[in-house]
Amino acid sequence: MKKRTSKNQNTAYLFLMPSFIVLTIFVFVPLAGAAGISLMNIDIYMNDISFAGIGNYTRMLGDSRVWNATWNTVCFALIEVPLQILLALLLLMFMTKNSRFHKLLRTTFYIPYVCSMTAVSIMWSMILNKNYGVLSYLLSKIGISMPNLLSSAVWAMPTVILVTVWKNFGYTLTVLSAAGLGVSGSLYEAAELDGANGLQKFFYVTIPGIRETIGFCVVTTLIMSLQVFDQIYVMTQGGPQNKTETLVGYIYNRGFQTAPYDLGYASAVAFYLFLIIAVITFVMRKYTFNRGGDEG
Amino acid sequence: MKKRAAAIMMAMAMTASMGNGMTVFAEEPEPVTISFWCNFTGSDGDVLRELVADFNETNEEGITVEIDIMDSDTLQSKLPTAISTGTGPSFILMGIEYLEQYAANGLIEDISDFWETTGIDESGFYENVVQKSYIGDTLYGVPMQYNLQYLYYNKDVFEAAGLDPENPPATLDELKEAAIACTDTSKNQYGLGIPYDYAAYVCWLWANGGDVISVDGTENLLNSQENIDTLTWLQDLVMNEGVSPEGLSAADADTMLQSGQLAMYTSGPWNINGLTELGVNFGVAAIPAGTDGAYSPEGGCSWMLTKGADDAVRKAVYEFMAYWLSDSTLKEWSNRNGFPVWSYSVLEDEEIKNNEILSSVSAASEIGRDWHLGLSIGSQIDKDVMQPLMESVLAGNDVAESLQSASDTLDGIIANQ
Repeated sequence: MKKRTSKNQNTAYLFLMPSFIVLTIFVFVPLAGAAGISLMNIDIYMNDISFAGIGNYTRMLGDSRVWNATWNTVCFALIEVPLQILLALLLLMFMTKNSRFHKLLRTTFYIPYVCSMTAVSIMWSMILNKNYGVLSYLLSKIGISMPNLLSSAVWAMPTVILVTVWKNFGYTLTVLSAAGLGVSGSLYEAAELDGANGLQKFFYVTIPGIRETIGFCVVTTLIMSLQVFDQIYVMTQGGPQNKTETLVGYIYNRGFQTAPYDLGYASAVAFYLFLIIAVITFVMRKYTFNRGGDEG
Repeated sequence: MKKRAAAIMMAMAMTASMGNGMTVFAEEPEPVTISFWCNFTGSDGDVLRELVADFNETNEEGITVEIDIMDSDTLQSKLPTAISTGTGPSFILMGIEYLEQYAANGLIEDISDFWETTGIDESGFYENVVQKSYIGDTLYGVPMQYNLQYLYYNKDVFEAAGLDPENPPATLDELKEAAIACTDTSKNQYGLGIPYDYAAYVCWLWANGGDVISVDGTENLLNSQENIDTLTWLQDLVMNEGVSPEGLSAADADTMLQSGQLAMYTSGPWNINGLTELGVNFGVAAIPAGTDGAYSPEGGCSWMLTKGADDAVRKAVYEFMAYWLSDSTLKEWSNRNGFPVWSYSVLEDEEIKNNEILSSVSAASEIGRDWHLGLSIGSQIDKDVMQPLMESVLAGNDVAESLQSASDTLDGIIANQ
């Protein structure tokens, strides 16, 4: 019996090996590399490399742009994630059946998700441009003058968030729909027998039935939103006045965009972001998946 | 004996013929393939490709040049590590603002023997242009193009506003008057494009005696009364006079200039091609003068040989650089892209003399001034100091406070360099 278990375990390890090798090459080694580089004085030219110890980390404490970028990143995540999940849930309420029409709607909402974020960002930048954009033109026809959303310190971040939600909610909707369709029909019948209306069925049958999936969506969306970069790079470049500069944007700025191309410092900020994501993911998994579920 | 003599004769003849044969082989050039990276992503990149193709077809040295064009950010992200790891191109075409950093970090080769090796007369070109590729007495690059920023103006809009289309503004006061006259927001038409993210801001600061940083990069000159006055003037133009769209980026300004929505805009010569192709009736003039004079930031690109080039690659790159400096190539480049001419012999060309736009551009190219070209912190000054400052001022925030904040940031950058 023991021998068989051991043999099964070896087989399992064998199956895990390809994923483990890929993860090692593309995740663990770069992660360890970034941690190592963050302890060095090193620039993109790779000259005069020296050991910095925790110097790059202590420098971060006095760098107001790190805290500004942290705040922007957290704001982005705290607004974008709930919006994306709530919008998907709202639409799910009307799309619980697997009819052709609902399938068409799901496909339509999914299309932006498969598009490149860069292409989507360029498209929205053009639409929203106050000076020659379509939206500005149409609004001017009814006498409304819109602000230049992407260069306004007030409107830039909300605009980027809305564009991100527009692009990504189709994915969340698809995942939640798949989970929703898996909820047993007998539960709905029982709820109907108890006199539940549509809203009550959604809140007391559908939501509890897909709670695990909602948790999964929250965690994955949150991780993605904490690493937001593409849309901000294309739409605002972190401006105006660094109001949309996020941590990944700042890492890119310090490491590759402006002299002295300080890779050591950029890696320290990257490792700091990694720790934020790791802690949040750990906490989310612990409190989202463990309540009565099998995962976690 | 006769046989022996005949054998010796035959041996001598064979040796001689072998020697001749070897000479023939030695003259047959070994094919060499060299590559360069650059960020000419616009229509100028197409012209560049054509000229490279022409060189590949016409050179008799068996040299093939391969070109890899990418956007500026990608180029600067990839290039240093690629060169350091020996996976970079044979040579690069890059802005002269990077020359100092690349040389200081040993990423480009000393090519001081270029003029002697190729036999090209260095004095045949503008000295100030060639000097941009020197650090001290060491040559690190061969000029490819030179430019300043210029005042573009739409002649049709000028005429419609009752202004003389052949008499563009020469002073900041005239500029303001013309900008107000040309502004008609009901038609979404503005008198002057004032973007927040483009180095044109330094033209205005210099014009009234202000500055940002000393040429050696050690002194912060930002927080001055001259700059407060100039920035207040700019803010007034945007916020009160409404001559420029608020929150305007340089890319948007280019588009608006091309669509006739901007009457005037300051930019480099790369806009000439697009405007000509679109049939815009435009003129190019020098940046207007303020109380201290007229100045425009210098820019340009140079060919640079990357670290570790062997003799064959160096020779091939020199051949290509020499091709670029030929009259026909420089003339073609200036004619098709509108970049000012900086070769004395090309200036004498009749076609060049008769090119109205090119003549205007060349005439407007006499007010060049060094804008942090030799400073390694140049990109930080633009990105982290000046852009946030301009965004803040053009959004209507207090000028003195914005300037103080930018000055504090600049202090930090200077201290950390």
